[in-house]
This record gives sequence, C-alpha cells and structure tokens, in this order.
Amino acid sequence: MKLKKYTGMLALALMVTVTGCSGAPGGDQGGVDGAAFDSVLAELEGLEGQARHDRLVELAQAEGQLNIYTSNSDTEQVMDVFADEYGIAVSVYRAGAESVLLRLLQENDAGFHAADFAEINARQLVVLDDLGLLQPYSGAVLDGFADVALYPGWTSHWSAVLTPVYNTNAVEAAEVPKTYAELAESEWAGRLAVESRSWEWYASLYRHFLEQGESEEAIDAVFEGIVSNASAQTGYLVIQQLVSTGEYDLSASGYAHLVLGQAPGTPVSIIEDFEDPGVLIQSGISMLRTAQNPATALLYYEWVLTEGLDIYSELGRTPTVRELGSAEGFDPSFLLLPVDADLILNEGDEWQTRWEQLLQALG
Amino acid sequence: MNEEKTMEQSGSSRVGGLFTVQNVVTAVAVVVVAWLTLLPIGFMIGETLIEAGQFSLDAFRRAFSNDIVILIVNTLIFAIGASALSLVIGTTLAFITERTDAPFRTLLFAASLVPVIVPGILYTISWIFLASPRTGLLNQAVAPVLGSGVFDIFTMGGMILIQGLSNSPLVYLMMVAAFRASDPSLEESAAMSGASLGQTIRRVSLPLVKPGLFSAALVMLVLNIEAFEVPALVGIPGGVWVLTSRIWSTLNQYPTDFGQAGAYAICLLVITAVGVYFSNRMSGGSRRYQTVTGKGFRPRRIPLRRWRIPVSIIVLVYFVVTLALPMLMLFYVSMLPGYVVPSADSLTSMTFDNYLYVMQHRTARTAFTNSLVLSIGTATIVMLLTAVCAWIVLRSRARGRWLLDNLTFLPLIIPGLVLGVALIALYLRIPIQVYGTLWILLIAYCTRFLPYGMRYATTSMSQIGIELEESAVMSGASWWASFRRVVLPLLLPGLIAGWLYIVMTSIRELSSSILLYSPGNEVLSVLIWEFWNDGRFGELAALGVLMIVVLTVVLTIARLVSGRFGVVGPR
Repeated sequence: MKLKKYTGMLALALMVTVTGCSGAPGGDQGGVDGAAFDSVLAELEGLEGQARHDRLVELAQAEGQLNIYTSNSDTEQVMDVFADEYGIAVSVYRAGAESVLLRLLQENDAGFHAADFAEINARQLVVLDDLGLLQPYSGAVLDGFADVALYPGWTSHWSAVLTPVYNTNAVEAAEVPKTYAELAESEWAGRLAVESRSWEWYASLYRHFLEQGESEEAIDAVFEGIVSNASAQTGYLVIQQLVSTGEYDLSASGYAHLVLGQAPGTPVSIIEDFEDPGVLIQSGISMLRTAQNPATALLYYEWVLTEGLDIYSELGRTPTVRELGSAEGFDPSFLLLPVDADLILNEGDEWQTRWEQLLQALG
Repeated sequence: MNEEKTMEQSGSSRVGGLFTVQNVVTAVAVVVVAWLTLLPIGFMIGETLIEAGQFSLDAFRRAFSNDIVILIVNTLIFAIGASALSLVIGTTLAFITERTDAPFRTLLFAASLVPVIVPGILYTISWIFLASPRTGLLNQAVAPVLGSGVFDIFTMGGMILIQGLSNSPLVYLMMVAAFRASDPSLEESAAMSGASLGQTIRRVSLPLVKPGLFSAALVMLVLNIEAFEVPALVGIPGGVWVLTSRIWSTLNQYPTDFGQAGAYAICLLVITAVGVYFSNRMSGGSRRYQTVTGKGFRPRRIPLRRWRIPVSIIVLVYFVVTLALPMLMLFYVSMLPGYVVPSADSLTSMTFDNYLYVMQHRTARTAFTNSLVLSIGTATIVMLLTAVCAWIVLRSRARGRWLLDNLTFLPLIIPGLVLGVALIALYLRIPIQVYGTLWILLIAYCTRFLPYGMRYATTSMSQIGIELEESAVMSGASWWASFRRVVLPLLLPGLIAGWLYIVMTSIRELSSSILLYSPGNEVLSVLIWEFWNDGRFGELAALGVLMIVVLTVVLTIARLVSGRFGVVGPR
C-alpha cells in the first residue's frame, strides 16, 4: 500500500512540476570550456544505437577512469555494477550535497578539474547549471522522458518526497496530525524535529499556503509554532533514525522513501492521509564540462538513466522518469510541491536567511 | 673553522661560515615551520580583509551584524566551563592517585586512556546515546524515580559535560606528572607543623604543582576553544552555537561567504591568543614555586582512613562515567540492527552484522590505511623537525630563534576547520600539486601537531646537560655529528613519547580532514562523520569499537617497545 501510495505521490509531483521546466536540453551554454566533450561528440557523430554505444564504450575504456562527486549514500553500490560491467575504475568523493557544490565551485575557480560527474540534489545542480558548468545532454536515452526530469545541464534520475514521518509506538492513531497547523499546537512541544537546513521545504510550503489564500500572519504562526515545538537536527537521515529510536515522536520533514526501504518492524511511518502537500526533492546527475574523462562520464550518464535506474529501484529509491503517469493507488488528498529553479536561484538567499532566523529565534 | 666556534657564534654572519651544516639545517627548519604556519594564517587574513582587490572590513561587519556577541559569549562559556571541569576532576584524581592510599588507582589509569584511544566524535556520539532527553540510557534509568528528561545533553551544560569529561584524563595525566615531580616532603613538613589536610592541599600541594596546573589549563583552553565535534553534534541540535560550529555552517552554505567565515575565524584566533597570553603570564609568575629537585624520593601516601570509602566511590563513579558507560554504550549500539533502548528483547536481537558491513566496506579499509599512514608520517616528520627546532631555540645563538619558538606554537591558535579552509584556498592556487592528495592532509596534520611535538622536544632538550654536547665538539665532532650521535640519542625517549602522542591524536583528527579529504584519501574520523550523517548508527559504532580495539593494541605494543627506550609516555 505504501509503495502504491508513494508511487502515486511521485506521479502527481512530476505532473505538477512541469511548470518552470524548460524543454528538452541541447545546445551550448556559456560558462567553462567543454572542448573535451565536443571531441567525444564528434567521434559519435552519425552513429546510432548499438554502433554508437560500442564506440562510446571504446572511448570510455581508453580513458579508463571516472571521478564522481556525489552526496548519495548508495552511489558506490550503483557504480560498482558499472565498473564491473565496463572494466572502468571509478573513484567517488562523497560528502553532503552542499559540500559537494562548494567543492566543485572552489575547484572550478582555481582551474582544478578533478570531477567528471556530479550526483547531487536539484538545489545544487540548478546553481551549477546556472553558472554554465554542466554539459548539456540530449541523447536518445531521454526519449519518452517527461519534461519534469529534464533540465538543460542535468537529468533527475530519482526523487524523494519530504513529508512528516512519525514513530508508530509514540504517536497514538487518534493524535496523528493531518496538517502542519496541527503540529504547531502545544501538545507537540518537545516531540518534534525539523531539519536545520531545510529552507527549501519551508519556502515551498510557505509559498503554497500563500497561494491557497492564507495570510502571512497565519502562515508565520504555523511555522513559528512548529519550530518552537521542535529541535533542529542536521540531516534528514539522522533525524529519521532518531525518530525510529524514539528520541523524537515526529519529524516535520521526513523522507518518504526511507520509510519505504526501512527494515521490517521499524516503528516509523508516513501519514497516509496527511492533507498538506509533501515537498519534492529531486536528485539529479550531471556531467562537468571540464571533465577529464568525458566519454566515461557520458557512458555513465546514459547507463544510470537506463540500467542504473533498476538498481536505484532495488535500493528503494523512486526513479523520477519511470513512475510518471503511474497514478495507481494515488490518494488525491496528498499534493506535492516541486522545488523550482527560480526559487533556488532568485529567492534562495532570502528564504535561507528567514529560515535560519526562525530557528535562531525559536529553536 | 672550529665547530665549537660555530656553535657559539651561530648566526654571526661571517660569509665564510654562512653555509655550515648547522646554518643550513637552521634555515631549512625556519623555512619549513614558517611555510607550515605563516602561509595559511596569512592567506586566511588576506581573504578576510581584502575584498575585490581592496582592503575592507566588510567581512567583519557582516559577521558582527549577525550573532557574533552570542557566539563569542557561548564560546567562552563552553571553553572555560569545560576547562574548569576537566581541571577540577583531573587534578583531584591525580592527587588521589599520587598522594593518597585510595584503592582502585589502576582504574584511573585505565580511564586516562580515553582521550588517547577514543576519538572525540565517538565519545560525543556515545554520550548522545547515554543522555539524549528521551531515549538516553541514563534518562531511562532515572525516569521511574525522577521523571523523564532529567538529563538533556543538547544544552550548554551537556556540551560542557561531554567536553570536560573527555579531556579530564588529559589533565589527570599532566597533573600526575606534576605531583610526581614535586617533593612531598614539603607537604609532610606542613602536616608536621600542624596544618590540616585541607590547609596542606590548599597552601602547599597546589602551589607546588601550579606550573603543571597552568600548562594543563592552557592546553584545555586551546583544545576547548577550537573543539568541533561536541559543538557540531550536540550544540547545533540544541541551538547552542559557538564560533566553530558557526564557521562550519557558514562554510556549508551556498553562496559561501568565506570572508565572514574568516572573520569568525579571526575572532577565534584572537580569543585563543589572549587565552594563551594570560595563561603564559600566569604560569611565568608561578615559576618561583617550582621545586623539582631531581633527588630521589618516595612519595608518602596520605592515609584516607574514614574518607577511604567515599573516595573509592568517587573513583569508581568516575571510571564508570568516563570510560565504562560510553564504551559499553558504543558496543551495545554496534550489536543492534537499529538502536533501541536496552531491554531483554534488544539484548536477544544482537548480531555482528554491523561488523561485517564495516569489514566489507571499501572506504573503511582505505580510511584505515590512510589514517595509519598519516598519523605515523605526521608523528615522524613533526618529531624530527621539532628536535632540530628545539636545539636551535634552546642551544644555538641563532638570531631570530625566538621567532622560531613562537612560530612552532602558532598552530595552537589556528582551529582545525580554519586551517582546512586556508590550505584548500592556498594549495588550489599555488603550483604545488598537493590538493586532492594525501599530502595536503599530511601538511595539515604536521601543522596542527607541531606545537605538541615542540613541547615534547623542548622538555627533553632542556633536561640534557650541555656538557655532553660540548665534550663531543671538543673531541672534534662536527655540529652535525654531535647532533646526530649525542643529542638525538639522548633526546630519543622524549621524542618517542612525543611521537606516540602525535600518532594517537592525529589518527582522530576530524576538523581539518573533513574539508581536505578526497576520493581515495578518506580517513577514519571522516568516515565516522559520514556514517553519522547517513544515520548508520550501528555501523558507526562497530567501526568505532574496531578502531578502539586496534588503537588499544597499538598503544600496548608501543608501550612495551618504548619502555625499552626509557620512555615515560601515557600510562
């Protein structure tokens, strides 16, 4: 049931995310020099299907190496399969998504190009793309992909939904909240956790409530109530673990896919009939224009969007592109909000500051 | 040219004597130390004060318009509170061990291993499991009597408790040495003259160990001001921000305000420098109390009589709280698929799965090798370098040796995070290919642990009579020959003790490593940090337990081996 529910959640999310997305990627951008990619693309010019793939594998194997920067805890399991399949050595730098972004920017500023491939969240990819650091992609692999997964310099390969998760031993069925407003009530004091850097979640919901016609005062009151009831922990994964240990009864922003993939008997659940929207967090893959191993980066990119997606599915992740349209089991009371590029690029600073001030004042 | 003259006249700038081995070694040492210490600090100050090519205080304005006052106040409360706690506990227990006939003294030595073998991040996490408000074992234990949530580790008090406890064994070790070096006959005289135990302690024992106490206070203050693990893992969730945690969060935000992070870092630097200054002044003033006679004496132990039982209880409680509980907690968590409050059920569901996971984890193996290579490399380089530096500072008359002396202590005031940022910025821009390799970590570690090496080297150097060196030179040995064949062998016990200390502390380094690691160059502390962020508590605990076991074995072997060189290291 949860699987169906979650699939449905994503399906709708993907449909509503279409706004703000540009069409299929392609064409050159500003930013850094992508000459290495141009020569790989020239090699593949005119080839199609298996012939193109074989040639790409040849080029990649000649490079023999791929350097991935990722924030994903499962990357090693995915890339191991790739490394075995093609006999290519893969090295991984793993850190928090924001750390990966900062490292890439710092290295780029200094003209140090160690990364071929980045796998992080939309929030960071949008920044890299805006700076022209990502290689546009428009291969046949994307045929039939919904626009929601497609961005000029990156493709969303899987998505997560932030929604409240609770400890089923600690929260009685009758008191399970149905809205964020309920979480602001005093009975939740000391029982909640919020993520300390989740300004996207805050901004998306805030804007949603505004669109629903609620006043700023009312919305502020809800978030102030939630934050003053909560501890601000860092890291969604840490929080979810602490909910399962019983340290917190409920996390205002949990990862739905973690509930799906958790060990049997773990006392953590999403709220099936939660009335307020979940917030969609897209994870994406991208090739750095300055890649030292462009052919391998391209091969891995295409491999992740085909075979790789199966592995992500097995790991409990929900591929963004595949679930589109599969609305089976979807509960229409559950809406999803996308995090859009415009919000991140143009209003990010402001929302980040507001969220931090809220935490400092009340946390 | 006679080498004796060289020793006497080193630094005299006669052109003919300019390129002696001694001068060259001195010059190389000065350049290496200056490179390690001045470059990163200079770079950081430059990045903070120069914006868009012009001198500007904007970075400070941005930092000050934020919450700087709260940050400074919190940093001071945290550092002073934790230092005071460590000093009181460490000194009391050292007194009990060295001067009384209290039982269980061996337990204190076991507990004194905590800072040596348990990485700060593991100790902090163990305490989160012990004293988090709702699921912490301690809270569960007292809940039936005192109600729930008695202990809340996510507070300033909790931060001080963890930090203070984790460093108290370090104070204990330093104070045991201080008590041993002071002659108890003075205390006996006081007692004979009718002073009560309290009066003797207050007016004789403590003044006698004042230099030791001040140097312990200095080390504590510095360690606590730049502490990262406790502020990050306990302070941030509790909403208690200090300078280090704010620097970390500033560095983890896009767009990153490096200037602002630099401004916070300079505040931290100033606070540390002021602390070091006052601590040095106070310890300078107390030298007149020093009575290290060197004559053999056997400390007389004060019979505790009716205080024996209360003191035994204090010792036992200390052992349980600082060592046994956190370690048992770590072991317990490592055996569970997911953390649950201890119960009959949870005890039956224990498995070794987490250990299997860790042993098969690719990065764990790499990280283990890297940590080992780095800590051994760092210790070796630092001790060799500081042996030369100590000689220059204490024995030579080289001009500017005061500068070398101060330079080697400079890294004490550079927090690890700040050093990490400075080194990245620096080595990304200069054409020395160390960024993205293990070398940049080695450079960071050598810089960070230089002051500790210097302390060991100067202490040993000052204990060696100059006559031995002079005899060698008189007998025709060159400076290099006398240094290599007389000074170094005599220094060896001190150098090995310093080497061991640096191996053990650098293997736990987190705050610089977390910024400097790259693929294939991960270290154990970073892996633990990543496991925590992934919510892999069981795997983290398993890795921690394995690490502690290995470090204990290494320490035991090292003690056995080094005992043959007459090393008096951590016991």
